[in-house]
Amino acid sequence: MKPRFSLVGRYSLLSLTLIVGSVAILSSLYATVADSVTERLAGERLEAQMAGTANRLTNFIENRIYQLETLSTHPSMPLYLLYRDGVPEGVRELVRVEADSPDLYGILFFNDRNELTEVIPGQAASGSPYWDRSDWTLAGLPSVFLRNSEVIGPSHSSGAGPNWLLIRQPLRDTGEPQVTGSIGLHVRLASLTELMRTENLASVLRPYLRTPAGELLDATGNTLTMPPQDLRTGPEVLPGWRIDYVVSAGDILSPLRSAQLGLYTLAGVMALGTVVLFWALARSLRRRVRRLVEGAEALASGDLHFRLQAPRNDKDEIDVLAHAFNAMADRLQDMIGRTVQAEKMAVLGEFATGVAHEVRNPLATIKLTVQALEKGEANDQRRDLLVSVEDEIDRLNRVVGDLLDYGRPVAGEPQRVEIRRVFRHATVLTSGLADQRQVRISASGDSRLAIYASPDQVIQCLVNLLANAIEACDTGGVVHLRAFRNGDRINVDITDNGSGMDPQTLRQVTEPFFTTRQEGTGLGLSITRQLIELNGGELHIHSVHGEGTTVSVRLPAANDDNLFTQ
Amino acid sequence: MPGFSNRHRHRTASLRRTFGRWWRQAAATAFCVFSVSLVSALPEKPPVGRVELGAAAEDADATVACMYPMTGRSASYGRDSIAGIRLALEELASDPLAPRLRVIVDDSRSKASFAVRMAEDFLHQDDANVLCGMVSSGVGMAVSRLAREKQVILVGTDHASSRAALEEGHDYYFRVSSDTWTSHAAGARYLKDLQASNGWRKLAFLGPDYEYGRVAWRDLQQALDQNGVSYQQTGTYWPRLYEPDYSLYIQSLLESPPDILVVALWGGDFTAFLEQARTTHLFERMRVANFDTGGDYETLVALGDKSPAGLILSARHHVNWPDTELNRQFVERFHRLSGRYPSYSAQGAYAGILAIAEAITLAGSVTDTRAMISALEGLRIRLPKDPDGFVSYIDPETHQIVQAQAIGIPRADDRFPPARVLLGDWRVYDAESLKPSSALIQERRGKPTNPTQHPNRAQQQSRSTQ
Repeated sequence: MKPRFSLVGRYSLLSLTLIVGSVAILSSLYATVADSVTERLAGERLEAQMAGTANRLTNFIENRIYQLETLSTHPSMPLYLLYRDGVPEGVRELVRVEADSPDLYGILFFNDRNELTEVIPGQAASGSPYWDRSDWTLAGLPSVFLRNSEVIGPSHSSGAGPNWLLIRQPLRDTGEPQVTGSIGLHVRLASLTELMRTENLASVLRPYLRTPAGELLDATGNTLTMPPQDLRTGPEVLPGWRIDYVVSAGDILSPLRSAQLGLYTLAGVMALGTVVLFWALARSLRRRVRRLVEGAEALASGDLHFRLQAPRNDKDEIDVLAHAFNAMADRLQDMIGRTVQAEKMAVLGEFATGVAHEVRNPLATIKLTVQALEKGEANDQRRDLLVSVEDEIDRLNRVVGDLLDYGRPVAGEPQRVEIRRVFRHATVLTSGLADQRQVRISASGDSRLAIYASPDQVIQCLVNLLANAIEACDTGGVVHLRAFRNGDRINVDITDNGSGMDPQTLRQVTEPFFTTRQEGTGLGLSITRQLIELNGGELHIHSVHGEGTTVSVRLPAANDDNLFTQ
Repeated sequence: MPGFSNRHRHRTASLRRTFGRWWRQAAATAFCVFSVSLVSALPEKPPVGRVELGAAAEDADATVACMYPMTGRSASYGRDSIAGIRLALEELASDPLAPRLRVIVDDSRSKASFAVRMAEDFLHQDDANVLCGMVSSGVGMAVSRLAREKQVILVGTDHASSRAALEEGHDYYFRVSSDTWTSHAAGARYLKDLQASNGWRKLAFLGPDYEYGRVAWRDLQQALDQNGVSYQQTGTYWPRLYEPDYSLYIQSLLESPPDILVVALWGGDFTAFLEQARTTHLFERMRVANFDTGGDYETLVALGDKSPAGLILSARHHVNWPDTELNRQFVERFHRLSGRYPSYSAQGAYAGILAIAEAITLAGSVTDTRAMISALEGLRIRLPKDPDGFVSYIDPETHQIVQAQAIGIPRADDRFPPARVLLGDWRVYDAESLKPSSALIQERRGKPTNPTQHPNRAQQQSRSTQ
């Protein structure tokens, strides 16, 4: 009967529940921690970070304005517009040194018509307007004012060079002669945008500089062609200039998210592995348990020969159970066999006694009558017929005698019997048959061996077994007797090289009335076994069909113990 | 030490009566003499500040005033340039027919204003006949303008902006080291061959935000166009000169990675960039090329045992190319003199002094500026950089020296310690093929601004700017 819900299935379900439950709890915990980290990284410190960045940029502009004021208010500066050669050398030196700042391309002078009239290149100066002013213009560039300073730009370099911006102030009016103009710092835009560098949170916070023209600049000063997603509006640096930013906590959390994904994958693999493992276990266990069940059912249906296959050494509980089952079956078969045999013997004894009583006396009368008729019969042909009848009566009488012997066995008187004596008697008694069948009998073993048994019954048994062996042999066959000690037992092997028996015959050969010969009664081997067992021995038959048979008789050895107890 | 001897005599006379004090003075004198001897036996210390080499002022046929950085990140260029000048002066000293040169070297501090003022002082106070040197292109061009204004010959030995010889070229300016055009013309041909083999498409440029970087980028673009190389420009990056931290730019490059990154950083800047980039996946994502200065000996030393993958480098001189007797001798002599192997600046300075001496010999007198210009135009001079069968010469049209260029990739090689890698797998581009074409020269010089016109005097040509 198939179980409704297997034990393995329950264990599988329980394990799966545990795995999935653990992963769910871990995941929930993880999500909580991740949210907390995100909040700490991107939330709490964000404003402080952005305010710091904005301050750096504002401070940079303020410093440039301060630098510019030093120049724009210098009384000699208008000379650059009015009469350049009249600029004192010390002032020229001052302007050149100021222009050499690493954040500047140079210093530019504009006249009252906003025309560029003078350029002082700095260390980073290159291209327009220092070597070639053909491409240089302020037209179209956004302009914002911070107090008295004008911030112009950023420029559009479109990849030909870096972008820049111009911070310009009017030159101080010196009175006579009237000079109106302005001076500007030509500033590296990257010097400003590089200040948006976020040291520790580079992966979380990406600031961009939004210009008055709406362009978005990254920290390297390059213009973004596509604005990033989720851009947030940040603090203003200058009028129209502000820092926009993207919080991409995902970048820093991506290893954690990868770990989370890995966790889910691992849990999935574990769940799948558990299912597969338990399925395989269940399949194996079911198969093995089914075998146990089949064995039990076979036993229940009377098949006492059914045995479970089990390894020599127990590997697990199922193997132990299989061995226990086989041991139980052995004992049950033995017990039932003995019970059946006892009952069979009881019935057979009663039957044999009745038959002997009812058949032997009339047979004796018939035999006497046939003998009388035989003597009085002159006709040879009729006398031969009567002799045949007498032989059949003798055979019938023997059968009845065998039946009586088998049904009511009588234990003989055990005594010390030398095995050579048994061998000699038996070979003598069967020599006629052996000669007739042209079978050679040989014997080997220690001549001093002695058994403790009834000499007559042992000789009867051995004669019986020898006769069977001789009859199993073809002409020229060999039957060998061999005796040897095996502990407190003497083993006697009767081996022939005859036709042997198939397994089916071998299993039934000791059953009463089983015979393969027409003239046999089928009781000889049964009686032999019975007598050997009555003498405390055992009989085993090993036969290979087509090769021969060995009958092993194991009897108690004669020793001091059994002789003394006698 | 005449000053010291006078002082010594004076003191011993005044202290003659006191034997003990005399003894101490004598001991001090001996100690000083011993110290001077000891110091002269020690390895050369990096010069800081003004250095005078060669003939004394009263004996010199000409005074050459050179400016090199001797402090800061590029101080090694000045140090090696001075050693190169010493080698050239050694050679001239062994030639009785060669002019006796007095060479003054001072620290330009890589600042244009400082260098211009220094050059003016050289001319007015030291009566310098010829100006030379300059590593930074910005400084070089500022001094070039002064040379034009003062009508003094300037021989550039290390700054490389091609603008100096093309747009800004003038009668008095000559350059004896290869320029950004030469190196990037070779680089463009290398990239063209590379594109044919690996099919790269995307290119980015990272260069210092000053004259040199800007012109290098323009030269590379023009050379690529001339060679018919089609590419997609993914970005241009302009860190400031002597930038201490390139992480911002490396991060940006990694976010939009090109197939090829051409870098025009030089000296310590390029080394710093490489060191930072090595800690990232940059070299796995793109090939990095530096065609003008990347193969400098000091950069190769900084690469250590193993160079990052995919580097393509060249420089204006290599210790192991060309494998000629002259180059081997130059490198060995430099090593004997200084205890180290030369960076490319040494060969430029060496070439500059030899070229000036040769021009004086040909002109007859350094004061005859026109004759000097004529001598320098087309001057042929065999230099360590010349492969067999070629002699460098100064192009009369551009005043730029014409030289071959070799591009290689770093390979393990410890023949010139402490460098553990040197360039190898050379691709050599012959000098004539790297010269800018006449059309290009015309295009570059055909801008509205007159090259001979100082920009500071361009008021008349200024355009309305707003």
